[in-house]
Order: sequence, then C-alpha cells, then structure tokens
Amino acid sequence: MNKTEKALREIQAMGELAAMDSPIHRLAPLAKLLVTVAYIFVTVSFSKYDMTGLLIMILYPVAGYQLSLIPVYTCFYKLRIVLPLVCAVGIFNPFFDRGIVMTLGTVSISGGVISMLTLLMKGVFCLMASFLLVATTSIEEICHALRQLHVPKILTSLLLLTWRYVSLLLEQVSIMTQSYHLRAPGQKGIHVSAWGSFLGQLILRSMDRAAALYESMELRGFHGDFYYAGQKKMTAASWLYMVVWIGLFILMRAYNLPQILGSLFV
Amino acid sequence: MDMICFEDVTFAYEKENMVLDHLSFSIKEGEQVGLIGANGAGKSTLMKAMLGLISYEGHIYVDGQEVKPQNYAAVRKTLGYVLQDSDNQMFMPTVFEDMIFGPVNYGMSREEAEERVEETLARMGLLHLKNRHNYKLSGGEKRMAAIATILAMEPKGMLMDEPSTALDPRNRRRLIEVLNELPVTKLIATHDLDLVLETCDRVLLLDDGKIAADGAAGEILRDKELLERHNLELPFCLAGVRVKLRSDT
Amino acid sequence: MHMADALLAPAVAATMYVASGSAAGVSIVNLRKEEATLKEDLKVKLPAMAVMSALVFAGQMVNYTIPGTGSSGHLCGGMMLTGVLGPYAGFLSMIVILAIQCLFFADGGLMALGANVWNMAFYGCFVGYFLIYRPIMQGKLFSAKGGSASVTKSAMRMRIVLASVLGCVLTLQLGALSVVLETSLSGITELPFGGFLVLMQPIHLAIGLIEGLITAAVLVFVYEARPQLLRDVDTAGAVEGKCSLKTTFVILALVVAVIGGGVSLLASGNPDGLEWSLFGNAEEGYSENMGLDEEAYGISSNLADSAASIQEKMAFLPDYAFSKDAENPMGTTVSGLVGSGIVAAFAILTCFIGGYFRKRKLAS
Repeated sequence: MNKTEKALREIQAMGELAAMDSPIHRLAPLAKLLVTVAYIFVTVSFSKYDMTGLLIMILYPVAGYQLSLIPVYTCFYKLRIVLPLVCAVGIFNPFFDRGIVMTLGTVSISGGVISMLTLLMKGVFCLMASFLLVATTSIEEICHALRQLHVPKILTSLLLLTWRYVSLLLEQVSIMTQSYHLRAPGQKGIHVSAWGSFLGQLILRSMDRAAALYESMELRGFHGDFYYAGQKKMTAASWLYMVVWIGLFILMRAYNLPQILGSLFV
Repeated sequence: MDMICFEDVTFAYEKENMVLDHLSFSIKEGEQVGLIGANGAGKSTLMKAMLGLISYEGHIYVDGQEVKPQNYAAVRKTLGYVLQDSDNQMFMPTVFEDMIFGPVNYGMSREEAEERVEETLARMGLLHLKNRHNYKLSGGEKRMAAIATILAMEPKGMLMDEPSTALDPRNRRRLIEVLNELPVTKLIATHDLDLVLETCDRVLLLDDGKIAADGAAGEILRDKELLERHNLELPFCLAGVRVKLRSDT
Repeated sequence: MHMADALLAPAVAATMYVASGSAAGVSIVNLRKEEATLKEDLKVKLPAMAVMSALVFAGQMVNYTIPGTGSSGHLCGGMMLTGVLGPYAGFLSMIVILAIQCLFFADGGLMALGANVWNMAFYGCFVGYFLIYRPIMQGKLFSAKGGSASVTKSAMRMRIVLASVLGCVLTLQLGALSVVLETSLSGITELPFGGFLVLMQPIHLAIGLIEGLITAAVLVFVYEARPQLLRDVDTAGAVEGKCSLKTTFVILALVVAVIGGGVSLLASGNPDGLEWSLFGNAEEGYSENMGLDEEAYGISSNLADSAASIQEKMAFLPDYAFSKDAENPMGTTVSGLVGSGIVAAFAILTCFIGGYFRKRKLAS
C-alpha cells in the first residue's frame, strides 16, 4: 500500500469518526475549537521541568475520548508523524542538562530526563487534543467556526474546496503510482526520466478540472460564500462546556494539583 | 414558444478552426432533443455557448432572453447543465450541501431550499444519499446525485453532457427512467444512440460545427448511410445482428 | 520540517501566528488588487487554488528516485505553487495545505501552525518569488547575444531550472534556520543553538537541491506543454533555440556536484559534534568543534549553572524558559509523584471503564 492510499484511508476513517453521534459531537464547533486551542496553549506553557503539574492535563483528552465514544488508541497511530522531531529535539536534553534534580532510592534523575519526558508528554497531549477536535468535528463545522472567528472567507472557502479535492487527487496520484509501478517493477520511486511528466501531466489535467469546476460553480451562482449545512448553535451546553474546561485549565496551570493531591496521602 | 434559439452562431478557439459554424436552430419548450456527432463535432461547445461560458458571435436566446452578461444569472437559472464529470459538478462535501448550493446562491431562503432538496431527493428516490459524502458515492450514485443537484434548482430546461458514460446497465436503465419522468425541455449530448432513441423525440446531428441533420429521432437514427457519413454507427438495437460473436466460430 | 506544538512556547507560537497572519492579510489585500487590475474575479482563481493545493498535497507523497542513490526525494510545494499561482495565491494555498496536514494528519501542531506557515509557506512563496523566481524569469539571463527581445525556449528552461533549484535551496535553508531559532527561543531543547544549526542546515541543503530539481522538472514540463500556466513566463517571443534541456541538466548536475561535494567536505570536517555530546565526551574536542563555550556546555555540575548560562545565551528572551520552579523543578518531589501516580491511575481506569461500556453499547 503506498502513501497516498494510506492517506486516503486515514481521511475516510476521520470522516467516519466525525460523522458519529455523541454529546461531544453535538457541541457547537466554536466551543470545541476554543477549548482545544486553550488546552494546547496551557499545556505548552508548563515549565519544562514541571512534569507532575503537567500530568493533570491528561484528564481533558481522557474525558473527551470517553464522552465522544472514540477509542483512545485511534489517535496513537498519528503519533508516528509528530514524535520523531519531538524526540530528536528532546533526546539531547539528558546529555546537556545533567543537574540532578531528584533521587529515587539509589537512582538519580537529571533535569534533562525530566525535561525530555515533559516534552514528550506535551507532544502526546497536544496531539490527543487536536485529534479529539477533528474526530468530533467535520471540516465544514471547523470552517464555520473559523468564519465566526472572522477568518477571511477566501481562506475558509479554499480550505473547504481543497479538502474536497484532496481525496480526488490522492486517488489520482495513487492510481498513477500504481500504474507506474506495474510497468516499472522493482523501482522504488519515479525514475528521473519521468520526474517532470508524472506530476506535470496531473497539473495540466488539474487546471482543466479547475476550469470545469469554476464553470460549475459559476452556473450555480457562486458568490464567494459557502452555505454550511446543519450548523450547530452555541447552546447552553456548549457555553458550559467551554467555560468549565477553560476554567479547569487555568486551575490546573495555576496549582500543581497532583502535588496537592499527593500531599494528602504522604 | 422557443426555449432555445440559435441565430447564426459562430465560435472559434483559433481563427481558422471553426468549432461552431454559423449555426441556426431552435428548440421548443418541452422538446426532448438528442445532440449527436463524432468526437470534436462541437457538442460541448454548443452547450457552453448557450450558458454564456464562452463568447461567440451571433445571437442565442434562452426562454426569450438573449445570452449576454447581464442576463447570465437568469439564463443559468433557466437552463441546468449536468457536467460530463460528476466530480466537477459535486464540489461540496456532502450530497445535501451540494444540492442546496445552487438554490441558496440564487436567493432562495435556507428553509425553502432545504425543503426543495428533500422534495427533489424524494422524487428521484435518492433520500438515502442525502447525508452521504460525495467522495464515497459509487459512479452511478454520483451521476444521479449530480443530476439531483441541478434538478434542485428547478430549471426549465436541462443540458446534459454524456449522462450515460461509465454507468452500468442497471444504472443506465435507471437514468433513462429518471430522464423520461422529467417533463422539462432537455438537450442531451451523447454517443449513446440507444439512449437517444429511448429518451428523445428529435435529434440534431452535428458535424464540424454545422448541423448535418435535424429531424425525428426514429428517422435519423435509422439512416445508416447518413450516420456513417458523419463517423457514427447505427444504434445497436436497430442494427440487427451486426456483431459477429468471437466465441461462436 | 513540520513542527509539533510541544516544540514551541506559547509566546513564540503566538508571535509566529501574528507574523503569518499578517502575511496572509497582505496576500488577500494584494489578491483583491490583482482582481481589480486584471479584471479577474477571485472566484475564477479559487477553484484553481483549491485544485492546485490538493495536487501539491497529494504530489508531495510521490517518491522520486534520486539517480545513483537508493534514496528518494519529494516535491517542493511552495516554489511550485508560486510558479503556477503567483506568490499571494500560492501563500494562501500553502496555508490551507499546512492546515489540512496539521488537522487531519497530525503533521505539525495546531498551535504551531503559525510557525509552520512562516517556515514553509512564507519563505517558499514570498522570498522564493520576489528574490529568486521573478528576477530570474524576467531578467536577461541566458538570453540571446545582442540583447534581442526574443527569448529562446531553452533560455526559459534554464531560467526555470535555476529559479527552482535556487528557490528551493534558499527557502529550505531559511525554513530550517527558523525551526532552529523558534525552538531555541522556546527554551525547549538543551541542544546548543550552534549544534542544532549544524544538524539542520546541511541536511536541508541536500533536501533543497533535490526538491529543487524535482520542482524544476515538473515546471519545465508544464512550460513545454502549456507555458501560459506559469507566472512571469514570456510566451509570446519564445523561439526554439539550440541549447537543449540536456545541456541544462548537465550544467546543473555539475553545479550540484560542486555544491554537494563542498557540503560533504564541510560535514566530514565537522561531523561529530553531536556524537561527542551523545556519548558524553563533551570535554574533549567538543567546544572547539562547536565553537562554544566549554564552561557553559561541558558536563555542568548542577542545573542552576547551565540554566544560567543558557539564559545568558538567550538574553533576548530573559526569564522566559525558566519559571520560578527552576530552583526546585520537581515540586516537592515525593508528594508530586504520588499525586501524579493517582492521576495517571485514574486516567487509565477511566479509559478501561469507558472501553467496557463502549463495547457493551456496540454489542447491544
């Protein structure tokens, strides 16, 4: 299976998740978007040694996944893209930052190890949160929320239209790749003699397609704005969801809750 | 009254190469017309001309209004155009959103438009497609949905470019049924001459930008000599046993 | 080069959002201006932008075999979009591509989007176009002797190749530099600035060359087939000349060989900075290789020292990376750990319970 097919499958899977129904799916997209942004902002703002304080942030994605009935493991597949660069950056911390910050029995732990772990946790948490957003919110809803935030029309229209054509072009590229490899067994990629024509052909065809698409939009009286069907309004529940979570995030950031919790026992 | 009227229409992409060559004809309201002709005869160009998508010389009238920029909106509302490639027709994420696109853009209120969409889908027996994603539709479903997006605009006439290509026999049959249930004026450009026989009363045969023949579908499509002169063949159902089966020898 | 959220501090991410947002605003304003002067409706451009960004998105997944090596390269999206759509429309299209990659493929983070747009789209579209693509395409390079107005086709091909390669190399270098800058400013990595730079720049030089060549090949093909699709390409006076595409590639291959050779020499002369640090030999040779202060980056005895020295290096963002916890980073350790353990156990338990109910719900 080549990369394009994998991408197509991922798109399809995301579409299916977003089409499910749950309390989270029913919330207004704007509320979900703002909560996600607030979550990522707060998570990233934790100090790089504040591993214990950061851990409490896991409650938001965990609760979100449970309420939206989306299995947590679905998002871990996506980690393969995010983690390498995060790891590459974090892996050096233990070597450069060797100050011992704590000892557990005979094992001493350096600041670098802590900061590396904190960095990894931030990476995983942020991914879980943004995956939760797209798994419960369709792209039209996201575009609608962006419009409410006054993102220019041209960008949201472009996003929506591009998204529509992404699957189509992925399919085209996938078929072209397959047919290329059928006639070029054993080659790992496109040979240099076909470098230009392989995608070049597709550009020409795509520009023709764009012209036809323009005609089709024109014939149906396009004025530059899309109608977003089935908009979910900012209901009382959405407001509540937003206010409660953002409040909790601030609380979690302001106080090291795990530590307070631990001190009750120790 | 004439739904579509061409008066001495000429169009060329390059000067020496006429795509539409001094065309004049008219189509009455309620007529079902098949537009046939070999590849490159000018079928698609002819359709684009009457929608104002290309600029031509001469005059075209649609429902009494001349096709010129200030009338484009009205003309395009009168004539629905079903594109050859449904993927270009359906650019919104779901069937429903695609169908509502046209009516809303032409100033209908959202509630009304939603009602209209429901109605259209019900009429075509496609209600199950309403919330489906366009890219997940099969070829046949996509074509039907593309026709539905145009029907939702309730046009007085429909232009269709190769509606039956890439459809399996059953979907093609379903398409013919749908077409015959639609009372609106239709102009169907196609190479599927059997489809023309079943859906059209009249045929326009186009060759090299000129009308080579214009008459009753039954007459023109039976005229073997005429068809072959213009690089076409008799429809299968009229050809008798013309195909020699390989496996029979 | 897509950055994840975790690699950026909020202040840096926000700054980059503002920067990218302003660039997007400028693009929209300029597109509207183009709309007015060219009498070309933005509506006409929208489908082309959408289809092209979808194409670049899909096209970046195609593997191109690099002759003579076992590895493969990819297309450079920014330069290609710029060549076909122009800088403003290209920039907006790149934003959309990056947004889709970040939202649906977890490639780059939501909060890091501003930075990613800047690193990849801004340089590719604006710097690539105004500093490289347009000057080269409209210049007199490779034109016939005597300065006649007509340009040979081969000269145009040469210009396209040159613009693509130079454009990709420069924009990727700038992008990589920005990644290093942004990460360092965020105080995420302990990797010293210089070391990180040495790690990133040469790799991206190689990537830039390959991406440039692939982009060049695609754009040359488009030029041959339908020159009017490309920006700033003189289609009127083009006449067939003698200089063939092969010659262009031969010349370019030579250039690549020279630059590539130079880079590998450079790299082999200074290859082990990271290795040393990895294996803890920071004392020997490290500082001279990296050109850094040994006292600051050698085996530092305690955290406060190294923290302070790093802070000095980053004086332009004082007090940023280290919160008050810096003196006592783990909190009061034991109770912190116990509390964390409880939270983690709770989270895991919730997942299991949720999973159990979900299964029952599905079964019923």
